[in-house]
Amino acid sequence: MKKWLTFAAVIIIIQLFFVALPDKNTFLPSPLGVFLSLADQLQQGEIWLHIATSLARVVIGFLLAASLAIPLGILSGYSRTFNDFLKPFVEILRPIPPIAWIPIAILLFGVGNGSSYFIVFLGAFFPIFTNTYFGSVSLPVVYRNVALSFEVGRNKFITKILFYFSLPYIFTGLKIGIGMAWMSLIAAELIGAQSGLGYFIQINRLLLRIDNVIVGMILIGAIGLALARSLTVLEKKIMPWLPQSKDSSY
Amino acid sequence: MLNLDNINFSYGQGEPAGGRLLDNFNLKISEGELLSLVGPSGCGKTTLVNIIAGYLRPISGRVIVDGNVVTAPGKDRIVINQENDLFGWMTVWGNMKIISEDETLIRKYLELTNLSDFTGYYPRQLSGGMKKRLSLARALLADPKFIIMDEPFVSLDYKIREKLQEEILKIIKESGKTVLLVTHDVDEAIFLSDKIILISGRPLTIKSELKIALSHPRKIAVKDSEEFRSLRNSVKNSL
Ligand SMILES: Nc1ncnc2c1ncn2[C@@H]1O[C@H](COP(=O)(O)OP(=O)(O)O)[C@@H](O)[C@H]1O
Ligand SMILES: [Mg+2]
Repeated sequence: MKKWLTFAAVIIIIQLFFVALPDKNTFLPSPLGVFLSLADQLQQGEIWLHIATSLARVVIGFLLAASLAIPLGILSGYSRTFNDFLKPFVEILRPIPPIAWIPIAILLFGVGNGSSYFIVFLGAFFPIFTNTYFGSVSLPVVYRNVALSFEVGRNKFITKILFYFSLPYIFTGLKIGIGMAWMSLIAAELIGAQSGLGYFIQINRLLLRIDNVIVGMILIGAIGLALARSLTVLEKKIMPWLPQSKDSSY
Repeated sequence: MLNLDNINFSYGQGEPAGGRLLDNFNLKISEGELLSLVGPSGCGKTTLVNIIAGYLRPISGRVIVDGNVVTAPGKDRIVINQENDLFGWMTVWGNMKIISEDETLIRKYLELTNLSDFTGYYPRQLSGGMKKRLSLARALLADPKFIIMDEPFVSLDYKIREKLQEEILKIIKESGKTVLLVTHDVDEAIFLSDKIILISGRPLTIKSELKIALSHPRKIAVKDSEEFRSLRNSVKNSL
């Protein structure tokens, strides 16, 4: 909590700076102005719709990405043959920023939610896949040996040993992935959407309401933080066998 | 009976400068005995264990269990590793359950290894000695023909080690299992074994054999006895 006090202090200093300014006609709104606009927007209610829309898009696209990236990552680590097959696709597709897919996404899915899911999916998929794969290949030899000696079957080996061993790596991927997903979505909404927080920023830019643009940015930051934090909470719940470390989340 | 028949092995391709690790190595382990291989670090004990377990393939030679050549790891030869080999994300119970569905047997072996009160614990919550006992319980659960222990006590501190040696010896003797213990610790080998084979490295060579006739059940105090001292001396002399 202490870190948020210093954060608030910096905001107050900026506000004081604005108050001390002789010419009040800057194009940038003061922190207080932004705060009032934020309160205003939250009361009007329309912003909630944009928030809900963006959240639904990111959650759905993210879940789709995770449910494909995790099994593929585990299997890539398990099977050399499978990895050799998948690797060229991953390596060529990974460097393409999700927003570069927007024209294709709109052609494939139109300007509706489908495109957004697709962009979010692309943003989240690669970090989740890569981290899962990394976990899966780094299974210590001793575990593989124990499984072989005790004749643990293949399915059990993959689901009970490889998957669980990889879980901490998977969570690293999920936490990076949710951030990428959120950023990709907002970028996509800025370019080609009729709703969502990215759209909200874009429309207010055209209306020259910079205060509302910043309101949109603040909400994006806060929701992005909340998404990452909820994964950290989930991580601790799901993996009680790990030593409970100090707050190392970011 | 476990039979190693003319095993040749070296890491990597070609003939290594220092010679092969294993050069036509032969060994027989008879039913019901606790046999120790005692040799210095780096002489190839873990390598040999990995070959017996089937994790490493020898260049030539055969591992024969009861007349059958084995080429892959299997439940008939279970290794208790030098390092911690428990699944960290499974509880004590889970570590047993993944080996067998038979809960009555699981309970029996947890009882035998004094772990009944810790079924819900994760390995990181267990002491070093408890982890080793769980590894042993898990091995017994698989009902193997052979249990191979690779320096199972190295990571433990002195006091715990002696106590655990006593406990584990008792459990093993009650189970009647055939055990191959691999260690560099002479006292440990004498205390636990029915027979000791002293080895040296590059290539792995049998220097001498020694029967240990100390009576069972053995208590750690036997290490101070005259009989033990003379066994220790005869080992030291042949090293
Ligand atoms: N995976 C490996 N690759 C190459 N050399 C190895 C490997 N494992 C062990 N060695 C070497 O083989 C020799 C025997 O090792 P090891 O069997 O572990 O001995 P010990 O268990 O008796 O201490 C050592 O010189 C070691 O450095
Ligand atoms: Mg060793």
